Amino acid sequence: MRYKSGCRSVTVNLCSIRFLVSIIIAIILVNGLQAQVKSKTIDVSKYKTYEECISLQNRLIARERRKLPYWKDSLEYIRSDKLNEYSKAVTDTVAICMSKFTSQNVNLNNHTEYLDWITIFYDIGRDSDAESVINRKLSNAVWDTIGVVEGRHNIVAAVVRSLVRVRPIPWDAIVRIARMVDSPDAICPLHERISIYATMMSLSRELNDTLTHKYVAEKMVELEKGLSVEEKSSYTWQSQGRYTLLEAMDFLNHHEMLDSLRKSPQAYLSYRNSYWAMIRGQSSDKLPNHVGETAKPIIADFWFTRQEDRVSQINSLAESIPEAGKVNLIVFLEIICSRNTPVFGSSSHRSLPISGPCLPAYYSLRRLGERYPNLKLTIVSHTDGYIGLTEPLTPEQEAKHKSQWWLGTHRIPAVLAVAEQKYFRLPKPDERRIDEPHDNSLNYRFGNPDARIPSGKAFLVDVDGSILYSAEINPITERKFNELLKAVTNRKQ
Amino acid sequence: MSTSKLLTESELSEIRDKLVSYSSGVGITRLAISSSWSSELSWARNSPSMSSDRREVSVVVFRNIKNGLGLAHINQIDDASLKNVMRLAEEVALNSGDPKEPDDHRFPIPVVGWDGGASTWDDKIMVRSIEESANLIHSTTVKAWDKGLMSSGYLETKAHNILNFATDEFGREAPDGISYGEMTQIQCSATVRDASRGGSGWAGKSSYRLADVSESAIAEKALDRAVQSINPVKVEPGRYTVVLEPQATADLIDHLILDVTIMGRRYAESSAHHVMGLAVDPSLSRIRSKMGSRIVDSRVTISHSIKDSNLGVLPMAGVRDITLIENGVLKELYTDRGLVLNELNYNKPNLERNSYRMEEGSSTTEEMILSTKRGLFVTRLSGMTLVDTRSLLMSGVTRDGLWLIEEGKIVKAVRNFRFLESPLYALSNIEEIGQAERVFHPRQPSTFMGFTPQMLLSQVIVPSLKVRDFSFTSTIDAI
Repeated sequence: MRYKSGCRSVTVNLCSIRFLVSIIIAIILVNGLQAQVKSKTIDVSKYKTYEECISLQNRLIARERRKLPYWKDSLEYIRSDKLNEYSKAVTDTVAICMSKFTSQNVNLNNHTEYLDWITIFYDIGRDSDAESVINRKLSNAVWDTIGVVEGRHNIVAAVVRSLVRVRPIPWDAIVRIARMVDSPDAICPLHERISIYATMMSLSRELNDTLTHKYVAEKMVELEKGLSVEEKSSYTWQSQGRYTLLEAMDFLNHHEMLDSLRKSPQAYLSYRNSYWAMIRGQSSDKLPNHVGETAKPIIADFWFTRQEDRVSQINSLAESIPEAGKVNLIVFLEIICSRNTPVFGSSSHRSLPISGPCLPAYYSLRRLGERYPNLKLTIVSHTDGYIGLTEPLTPEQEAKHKSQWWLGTHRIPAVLAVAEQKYFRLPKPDERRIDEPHDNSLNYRFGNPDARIPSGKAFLVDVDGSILYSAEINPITERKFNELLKAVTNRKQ
Repeated sequence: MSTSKLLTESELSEIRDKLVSYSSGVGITRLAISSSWSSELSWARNSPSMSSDRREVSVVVFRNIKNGLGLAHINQIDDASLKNVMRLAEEVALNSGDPKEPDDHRFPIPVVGWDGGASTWDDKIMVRSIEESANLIHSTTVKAWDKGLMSSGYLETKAHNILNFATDEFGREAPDGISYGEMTQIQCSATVRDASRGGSGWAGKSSYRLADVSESAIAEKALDRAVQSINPVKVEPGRYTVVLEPQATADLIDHLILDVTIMGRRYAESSAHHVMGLAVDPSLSRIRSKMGSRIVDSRVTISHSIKDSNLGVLPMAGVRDITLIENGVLKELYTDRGLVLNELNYNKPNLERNSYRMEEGSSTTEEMILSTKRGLFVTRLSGMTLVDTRSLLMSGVTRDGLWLIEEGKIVKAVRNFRFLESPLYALSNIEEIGQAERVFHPRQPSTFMGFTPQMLLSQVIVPSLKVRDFSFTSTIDAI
């Protein structure tokens, strides 16, 4: 085929070069156009209100989420805010949408609207606008709430609660605003102050901000010293405050606590009980999270092990679980999610996908199991008659599927104990299945009949059978399990 | 069936074959390929106001690959569009899972077959022209015009057909994996009014069969009722024995069926405030439903059979025969698959549908009137608002013709009433049950999982009822 621009047969080489160059130019042009088209596929000019921009942001993030492989199978810890970061394309698009608005557009008389504004301003990097809104809102409010609908402490607490949903988390801003309740003139009710400290405590723990964690821990200790007897007996203190203080004391006495654990389980329990006794006051409550209880033997109908990359079913174990003389990690686990549901909890794009006894829990267990080969890791489960939306399954089939899923697919180096769930059916025509509580679940309620053991609940059991710590396993609690395991395994024999 | 208004079964099969050839093969594929046609005619103030003819095709593709799920639908059936919709479903399926995850274990995903339905089809509906219907209605509107009355109404004829197809996880055709169903429906209602003298008449009917719905008869009946109800007199509100025409019966119990239907057993057993929720069993921490309890008169039986050609249901997974109320006892509630699997450990859901049949009695409407000393004859009920969810107490109004019965005879038209009544109370106070007939029931069927948009039939067959102590709270000015 001849090129149209006057080429003759004698100039074939030159012609070919020109032809190729024109193709390359065409490709570059087309690609350029496509990139432009891609960036213009969303016509943000049609969105007239800030609510529409927020909706747009939600839609874009949800679209990205669906494509995101969340859980990298690695030994490194991935922060939840890193997992939740939005792409630049989303931020840029929303920024264009919001470009027509300034902080002056915010209706400060509305009790909640300003929270949406500051969230989206931080999301798109307009920190100064967000801070302007916060400052104006705060300057219109006073600490003393007598006769005032919205006090300054309400705003501080609401702003802190909102900003933890921003990605990346504007941690400096949160700390700055939260610290306002510690100013000399601040008047902040106990429940609000505890709520703010608890939020900062959990966030700084998750973000590994030890400086802020220490600041909040010291503030909690200071707060406790100033409380009256009535305030200490209040519901807020009893249900949240004293546990936040225990975490603060654990942090402040971190080295001593781990030293005591390296010495012996008794020394560890004795040391923690020494300040828990001060915190609990007159009540006889034991240390939370079943710490100090004696772990009961696990009973099961089906046992599976994983050895040399093979999952095998065995009739029974030679030793009982928890195995005496070994450090045990006993995890109650059920399959309530699969890889189709990478985001757990709320379906909102802002929910933290860090919790839930699903894939992140599996990876945490595997990491711990591989890091501590002498750890006796046991997964405890029971049969339900189905998994997800499968066909109804026999107990044998279900136990086998679970073993393949946890020990095979997810390669958790554990022993799997599956108990056949006993149940009865309500009389006809109802016929619903009512499960009877199994001995394992009863034994690990430790005398509290109302307690339930959620899926993912893990119990770290020392060599003498006493429980050192229990929590739902996930990448955050994994760090706590890890440091305790490290101390126990470094114990001099 | 061969008409250009719908795709033929072979044309639907051809689309299915193309889609199967465009799929990557592995994993479960479910297809729902359907076509629909509807024609409407409406008139107001004795003149036609709208006429339409709509045709639509729908292709729904569901793919399950490596435990990822993808759903896509399209209304274009050219080769490029079919390729696109299959590719989109597969992309969504692959993206919904985690591609970095190992895939060496799968839970057994059930292969869903299609439960057979009863096709309700009438060729005559497909050949009835809108002009023909318009001419029939025109003759009545002329009469209304001559008498100084205003008539309005609505006529809709429609048809659907659907081809379902399912494979197993290896891409092979599943057992019972193909099903085909088709339906026709005609519905017509007419209202004639004399605004100055307070007269109003209404008539309506729906069926899958053209012969059941005569446009001219409906229009004539509405005209007659309007003339008969002119200059209604005011009577005192209170409790009356009422003779409910089948349409009024349907208007009343439709809310009961709707509440039983929506969310079915799952909802009844999750809220003690639900009308079919009995109470919380404290020892089990579970809510018991009223299943097994007598809730209405022992002569009441309401059911739906998928083989009942007068009711019909298009083929879909999880639809079985159901008897909601048998001899007054709440026998069964609709169940979804999650509920039957989790709570009952079996694999046979019974999904909701809008059609039902209430068993008829031996009386005729004339006999009911004859045996009534003093009561009211009700054409239909309207504007129902739920007052109490626990008892289904509702407030609403009578419409388009209310007559006083005295000593076994209809004596005069009376002004409309507002009523405050529960279908459960009314069905417990039945004196006589009449002959059942198909009524006008235009409620739009719900969408189920994107697979059967507007495909569920909505056929209702109920009898006339004579009910004592029906509560009317006030007269109203509306006609």
